[in-house]
Amino acid sequence: MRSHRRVRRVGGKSGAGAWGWICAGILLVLGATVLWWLLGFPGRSHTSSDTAERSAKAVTGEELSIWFASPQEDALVAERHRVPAGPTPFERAKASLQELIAGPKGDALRTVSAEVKIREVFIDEQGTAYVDFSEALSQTHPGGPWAEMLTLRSILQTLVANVPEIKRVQILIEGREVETLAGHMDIRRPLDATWVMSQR
Amino acid sequence: MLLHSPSVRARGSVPPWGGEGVTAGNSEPFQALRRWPIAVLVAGLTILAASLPSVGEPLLSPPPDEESPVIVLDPGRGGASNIGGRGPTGLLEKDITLQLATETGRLIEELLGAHVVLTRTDDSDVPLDARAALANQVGGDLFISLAAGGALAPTPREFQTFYFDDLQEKSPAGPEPANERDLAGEARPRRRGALSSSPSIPWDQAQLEFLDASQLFARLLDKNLRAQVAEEGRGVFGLPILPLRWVRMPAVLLDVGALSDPGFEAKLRDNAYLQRAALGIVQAVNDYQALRR
Repeated sequence: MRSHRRVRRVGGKSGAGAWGWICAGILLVLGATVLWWLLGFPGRSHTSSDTAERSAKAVTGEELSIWFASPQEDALVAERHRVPAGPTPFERAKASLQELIAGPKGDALRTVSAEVKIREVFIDEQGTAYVDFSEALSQTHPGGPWAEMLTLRSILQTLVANVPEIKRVQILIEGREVETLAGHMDIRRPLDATWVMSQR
Repeated sequence: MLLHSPSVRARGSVPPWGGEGVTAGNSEPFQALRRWPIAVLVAGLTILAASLPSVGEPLLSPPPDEESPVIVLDPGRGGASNIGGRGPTGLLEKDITLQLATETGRLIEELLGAHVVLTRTDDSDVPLDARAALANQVGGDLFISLAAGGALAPTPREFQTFYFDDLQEKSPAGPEPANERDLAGEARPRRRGALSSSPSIPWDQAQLEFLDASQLFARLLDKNLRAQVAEEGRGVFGLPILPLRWVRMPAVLLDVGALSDPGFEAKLRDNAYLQRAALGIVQAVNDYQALRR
């Protein structure tokens, strides 16, 4: 009887030890997970720091790359404008376009009239930015296929340069898709980020 | 010359396809020219033709017939709400394009014996798709759209020539031709006067078949215009331009310069300058037709 109890006691002690090891293992895994979480896995760390960085930039201002026409109207040139851009793609897109409308600081040429208003900006999950301008974009444009091309490229390049999420841009005028910007350039569909001028 | 040929005038009065498109030569600024004595006009045109540089074959004036090519000229802008560019002293793009198209059409008919169709002959605002539709309906062999647009700054900008390029898709036209004559030899069967028996082409892809030919003609236009107006020009470019996209024939857009430049506006007010520009276009058409033969 005594030995039987001893055996059972010995056997119970052995089971408790195994459970202890299991619990210790679970605790170790949990601890490691918590530690990994606290230190941060790469994606979360990036998002966190990126958001923090963007928040800081929203307060102190951030340099945006704004594209205007060269004085000879043969190319686009970038200016660096420091503005509070905001942390989201939507805010950065809108801030970039506001700077484009505000115009160049140097001797570059403005491509969009100062009378133009941004009615709305929307970026979908596929990276298409829908930018709704006031009708002044068309009405105040000097016309001519070349000038239209420069205007469209400056809008596209300014957005793509400052908002990596944007892959293409659909121009809207007063909430609607239109045939041309000012009589020549086809803007019925989104302009791709690879949209470039070809010269032969 | 065929200036007073009854057949030319008859063609110019009532287009066979109906609608507003009529042939060149009946707008008011050039009515006065028709009243000049024939001898003076013939002599003047002969001198002008003789002064052309020796680019391609000489200008010909064969009698017009059913096999004559159809050249569609498209004066940009038009109407009260689509005046286009405006010069510092008030010259309007819609007037310049119509004047240049009318004069060019008259010279093409007289010197080349081709049929000419204008997408508008008065100050009317013709939609872009209607212009393309008219050109396709008459089975044009060449489509030349004319512009005199503005610029971002009131600085000089010389003429530019454009052909259609989507810039977002690879050209389905295949490899570059070996030379200009090979390229010009790719001409399709004539479609004029009857519905085409070929498979239907999506409206938006009408120009794709003619990308190389359009580019060739744009280069010829650039070369001849440089010779005529003594300017370097800004070159030949491919852009997604309407209505070129919808035109089912070789098609180009010629922007003769920035009307917002005071110096250029003064040039455009000079009929002699417009005459030289028109002759440059005529010579380019002649060169293109010579390559196709």
